[in-house]
Formats: sequence, C-alpha cells, structure tokens
Amino acid sequence: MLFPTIQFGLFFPIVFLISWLLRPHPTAWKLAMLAAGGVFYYVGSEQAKIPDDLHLRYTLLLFCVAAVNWVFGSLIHQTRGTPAQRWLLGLAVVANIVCLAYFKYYLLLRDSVGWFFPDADNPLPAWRPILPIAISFFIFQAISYVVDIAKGIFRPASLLDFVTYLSFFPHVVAGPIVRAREFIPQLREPADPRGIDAAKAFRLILAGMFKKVVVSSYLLEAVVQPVFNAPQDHGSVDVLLGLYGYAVLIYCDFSGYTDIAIGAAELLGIRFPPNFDSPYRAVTLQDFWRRWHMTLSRWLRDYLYVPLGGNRKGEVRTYVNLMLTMVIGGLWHGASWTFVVWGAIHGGWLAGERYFMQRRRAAGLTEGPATAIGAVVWWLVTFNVVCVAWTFFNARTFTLAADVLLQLFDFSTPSTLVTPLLVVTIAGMIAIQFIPHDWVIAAQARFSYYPLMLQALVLAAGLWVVDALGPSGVAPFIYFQF
Amino acid sequence: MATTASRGPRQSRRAAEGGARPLAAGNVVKVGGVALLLAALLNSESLLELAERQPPGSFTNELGTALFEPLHRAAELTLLDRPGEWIDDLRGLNTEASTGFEELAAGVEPSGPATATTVPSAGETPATVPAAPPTTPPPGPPSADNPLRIYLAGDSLAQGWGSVLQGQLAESDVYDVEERVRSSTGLTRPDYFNWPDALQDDVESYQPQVVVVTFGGNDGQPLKDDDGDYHDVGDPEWAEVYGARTGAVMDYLGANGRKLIWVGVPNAKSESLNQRMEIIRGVAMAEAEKRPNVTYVDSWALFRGANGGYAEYIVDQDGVAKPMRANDGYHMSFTGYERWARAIKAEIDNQLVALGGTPG
Repeated sequence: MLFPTIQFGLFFPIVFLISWLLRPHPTAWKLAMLAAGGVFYYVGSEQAKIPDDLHLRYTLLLFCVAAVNWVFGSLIHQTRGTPAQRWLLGLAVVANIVCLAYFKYYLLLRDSVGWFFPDADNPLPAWRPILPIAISFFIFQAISYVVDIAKGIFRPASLLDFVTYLSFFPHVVAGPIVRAREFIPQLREPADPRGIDAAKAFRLILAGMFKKVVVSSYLLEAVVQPVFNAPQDHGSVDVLLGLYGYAVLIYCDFSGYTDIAIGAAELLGIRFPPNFDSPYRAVTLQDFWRRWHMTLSRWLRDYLYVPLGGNRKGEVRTYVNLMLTMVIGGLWHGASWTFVVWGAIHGGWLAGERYFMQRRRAAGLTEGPATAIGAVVWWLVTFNVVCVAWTFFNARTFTLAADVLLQLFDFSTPSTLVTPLLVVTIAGMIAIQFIPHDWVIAAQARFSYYPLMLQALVLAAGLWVVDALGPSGVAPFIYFQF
Repeated sequence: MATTASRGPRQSRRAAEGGARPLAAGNVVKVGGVALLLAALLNSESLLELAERQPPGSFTNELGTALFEPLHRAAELTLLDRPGEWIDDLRGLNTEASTGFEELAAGVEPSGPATATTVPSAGETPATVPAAPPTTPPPGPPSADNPLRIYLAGDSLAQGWGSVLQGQLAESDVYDVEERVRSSTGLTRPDYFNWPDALQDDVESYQPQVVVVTFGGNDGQPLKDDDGDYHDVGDPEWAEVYGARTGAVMDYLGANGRKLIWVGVPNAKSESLNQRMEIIRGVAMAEAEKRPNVTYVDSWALFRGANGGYAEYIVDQDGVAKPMRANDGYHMSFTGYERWARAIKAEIDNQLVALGGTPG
C-alpha cells in the first residue's frame, strides 16, 4: 500500500485504534500487526501493478522468507561454537541472496550472457521473473538477523516476534532497514499508551507527504522528465536544473517515504532509526553517506565492508573493499549496469577522498576544510559529484546518461524550462538542509504544548496544503502508474 | 487512555524528542480525527470525485460515495470547499471546465482530401470537423535544410518509445522532432491533464507534418461524460464516449495534410488490464479505420508471443529471443522500446518517402 493514498488514510486510523486497544495483549497485538502487514503488502503489490495472480503468492513469499530465516536463526544459535554454525550461516546468506538474485538479477545475468552469444541462442532460459515489491529490503533485514545471531550479539526471537518484525507494515515496502535487534526488544517492553511522541510523528508524516506528493511530483514534470527524456532539446541551464532537480526529487521521494514510515511507526509506539539527515549539506562523500539512507549505509558497512576486511587489511585492500561495497550497493538499488557505474563513481570518489585525507593528515592539515570558503568549495564539489552520479542512477542507458551530461555544454540550444518557481523550489529544498536540526526539534516541542484543537488545525491545514498543491488528487491513486 | 501524559511520576517510559510533550493515544485519536475530518471537508470535492471514479457499483465506489457525498454537502454549506476552489483557480485547474474535446472538434473548416467525417458521440458535442490550423506547405521534399517536422506525444509508453525513437531520428538531419509526453495521462481524464489543449498549443506553434501519438495505457478506467455520468470500461456508453474523444483527436491531428501515426496499446500480463487494453485497442482501431490518413501501428501484434498472448520474450529482427517487457507486465524494457521505435520509424519513413525525401 502506498502511503499517500486514500486507502492508507482509511487503513491507518483503524490499525492505530486496534493497535492501542490490543497493546496490553502482546500476542493478539502481534497477530493484528501480522494481518495488517499482510494486507499492506498485498495491496502494495496491486498498486505496483504486479499481475493479479501473484499478489497472494508474493505475500506468502514474504512470510516464507521470514519463517525460513527464523529456522536458520534458531539452528545457528543452537550450533554456536561448532563448525556447523559457519556452514549454516553461509547457507542462510546464500539462500537469501539466491532468492533475491533469482527475482531481481536473472534478467541482467541473461542479458549480460547474451553479449557473448550475439548470433546464437542464449544458453540461459528465456524467463523473466516478476520482481516482488520490497524484496531487497526484507532480504537484507533477514540477513542481518541471522548474521547478528551468529556473531552472538542477538538471541533468536520467537517465530511470532520475528515474522511481526519482518512484515511490520510501516517499513515493509521501502524501509528504513531496521534491524531485528532494534525492533524486537521494543516488542518485549510494555508500551505506554500515554507516551506517544505525536509531535515528531505528525511532523514527519506531514513533511514526508509534502516532499513526496508536492515537491517530487512537481520536479518530475517540470524539469526531470523533459530533460531525461529528450536531453538534446534542452540548453545547458535546463540540463543543469534537470540534474539538480533530480537530486532534490530523489531525496524528496525517498526520504519523504521513510519519514512517513518512521512517523507511522512512532504513532504505533515503535521507534525506528533515522534514515536521512540533510544529506545535501555534506562537504565530503563520506559525510554524504553518513546522512543518506543511513540504515542502508550502516548495513553495507556492518554486513559487507567490515566482513570484506574493511580497513584492516592494508591500504590497497581498503580501497578495493570500498569500491566493492559501493558497487554492490549500486546493484542493490537496481538490476542494471548503470547502477553499477553509479556505485563505482561513489566507490571511486570515496577511495580518492580517503587517499586525499590521509595525505592531508600526513601533512599536518585538518581533515575537513579549514576556512568558510574552503567549506563552500568542498560542498560544491561533493554536491556536483553526487549529481553526476545520479545521472547514471536515473538514466536507463549509458547513451542517455552521456547525452544528458554532454548536453550540459550545449550553450546554443535555448533553455526553456527555467522558471522562478523551479529555481526557488530546487534552491529552497537544498537550502533547508542547512537549517540546524535543533531548531526543528525546538519547533516540534513547542507544537506539542499547543492546545489539542490547535494541533488538529495545524495538521488539517498541512494535509490540505499537500492536497491542494499536489498533482490533481495525487496521480498514483487517480491514474494507473505503470 | 485519554489523558495527556504529564511530567513527574507518570512520565512515559520513552522520552519524547527535544522535551516535547507526549500525547496519550486517546488524544492522538482526537487530534488526528479532527485533523482528518477538517482536511476531508476542505478536500471534499476531490475526495468525492475520486470515489465516483471507482468502478461503478464496486465496494470502493459505494463506500466512498456514501462517505464523501454528505461530507461534500457539509463543506458546501459551511463554505469550507471555497479555499480549495481558490487554489484550483490560481493553479488554472477547473474541474467544471470543458474537457477540451469539443473545442478540438469545432471551429475550423475541414481541408485536405482525407479528413474526417462526423464522429458519433454519447453525451458529447459531435466531432464534426477538424479544428486544426493549416500546415504550412513545405517548400520541397524533406531534406537537411527542410527537415520533416515530427511531433511526438502521449503517455509513459510514448515516453519510452519516444526517447529511443528520438535517438534513431537524431542520426539524420532530415528529421526535426518536437515532443510532449506526460506519464499517467490519457483521454479519459482531461481534468487531470487536458490533452486537447496541449495538442492544440503544440500543433499551432510547431506545425508538424507528421504526428505520432500513443494514448490508452492509462485509460482503462471509468470516464465522466458531459452530463456528469460515469461509465465503466466495457459499458457501451464508455466505448461511445471514448470513441468520440479518440476520433476528435484523430480528426484534429490528421487534418490539413498531416500524417497521423497512432501507436496502439500493447497487450498486458494482467488478465483484467489486458481485457481493458483490448477494448481500448478495438475502439482506436475502429476510429483509425474510418480515417485514411491515420496509420494505426498495431503494438498488440508487435509484442504478441508465439501463442498469441502476452510474452516476456519475443524473437527480434536478428532472430534472437529478447526480453521485451518491464517488470510491471505492461511497459517495455529498453529492448522492447527499440523494437517499437523501429516499427514507428518505418512508418515515419514511408511518409518521408511519400513527400520525396530520403530516409536517414
């Protein structure tokens, strides 16, 4: 189920009421959340236009993945300290990756194999699995569960707890990637129905809806779609705004979605980790990855970069590990070689930054920029590197990505997309990343002391603004989104 | 449950961020309930519209209408619907405005040998004559100095084949291309995006010689006729109104010697979507057949599998079976769009040759 839809507007209040009525009865609460998760995932499959006959099958797949990983987790725990544990862990990780690879990467593999058989039949069968929604998220969460048990930093949960965690509807479709050891202990504590951080939840839900419904939709139509669809028709200023616009769009789209997820979970008494922290204020790419999709970054760090050896195996291996981690992170986002290049740009730049920082340290200089002008230059460089990399993220082909980037230097074609509203939107969304988080928290705290009816009025006004400024009635639930 | 938590001994176990005052669940219900009710009143018109658009007689249609009709009446009584109307006016959105198909079909005398005749309608102004401005006669055969002016338009499918086609056409100077694509649009929802207005603007300013369009992928949904009645896909009235709109667009775009290439909808993996697309294909083919200057590209046949139905893999021109479809079971992969664009380019080149040009 998509968050900014009427269906969710009806679904959530019902689930909220049931949730707090059942919270004193943990088993009943978990069963209710399981049912809600199943409904949410099933309807999400419908909305994602997955063929009808697969909705139920894929909902069952989610629960099967949960059950299988729970069994693996229990066996891994029981075999602690024996060689069997390593085998079981390896088997669990491979089984999860095979499941993900089958649905997500088979076509890429077949296409790539096809390069070597240009005039003959491809040896791989002509089969195209339909990708279940959110599989990348729940597979990664399942892997973190079995690995944490193997490391001894988390004990196996009950089957009901684990399935409730994996299928918990606020994070099941698009994250954040919450770990079992962050989520399941919250199920064991009695939740206090008097202690809901509603101000934070309301802020996140409203801000998320505004970013996703209003800003993201506007930028897509005003600049991103025209530029990426026909770059040759646009002048350099249009293309530059298209690149910056896409950077803002993808931030608004993704962070907006996870803001709503975090806010919805908060209202149900479950706290999720933050997922975005003003990423476009970063002055280095390393800083960017501490702020962008933070739950994925730390997953890649803890379950990929560190197991690969991290920075413990010498200079060269560190660079290789960085590159490998980012390339695999790129592939996680999508099954295309353009995502690999996106990851490689990030990996390469991170490696370069690391080398540069080490030389600065060796020369007795500070790691970060020493002056305000230096900070602006570093920020500009980082932001533009991120934007160039986004081109490969958004373009379907290398040719299109190259066309977009080359068109940046076409000063003869007129730029027709530039409007004051467009420039203000892009600049404004970048500028608000520099607002100190403390200010936001202080405003949120002030709001929480408003009389209840005033809080309701502010909330209603916010919802109305989102609806009034969004695309006519919000396209995803009016028009079919294929 | 309904009391606000206070600081001190009864303080909640989890501290709220930044010293904020936590709320009790009952108070969240009060705040959220009032906010949702007020927001629903302010947005009642769009909510009712949304409910009415659900398939007539369906659970969502009946529940939504039962909920939002009284809400909208209450909003009208209390004037709470006004702010939304003001914003719509400011944004140039007016749900009561004309669909644009009438204007498209009226006002300009027909010209050229192959223009449309009267188009039937249901609850709509008949599309009697094309409304297109005359295309400036080309000074000679298309060439690099006098390129063939091609206008591409449509929904996300057009966006897909359009970007590949533009790449193919860009290899020669003999083509000049303008494009307007907008995903999630079609001919059933002029209140969401008014294609008649957009087409008129573009055709008048660009004066294309060849127009290539795709509509229909998003049109498998109920539509509202001029009398305000909704008809669902499969109803005879739906086909009549949709046919009238399709015909009006064909008449306009194919008038005054322009060549119109109507790229039809492909089949779909989902059975229910496939049925709707089949109806849309039937309507568009029937309308195209009435108009000799309209060429219908049968995408359905182009992407049909060996068994005659939906297929992920199609044997391409080089004899290799390639994956043609996107993950959603409807859109195309890049390879699919390449195959589609080649078929469309062949039709454009036919017109180029007919005008005395040499394909690039």
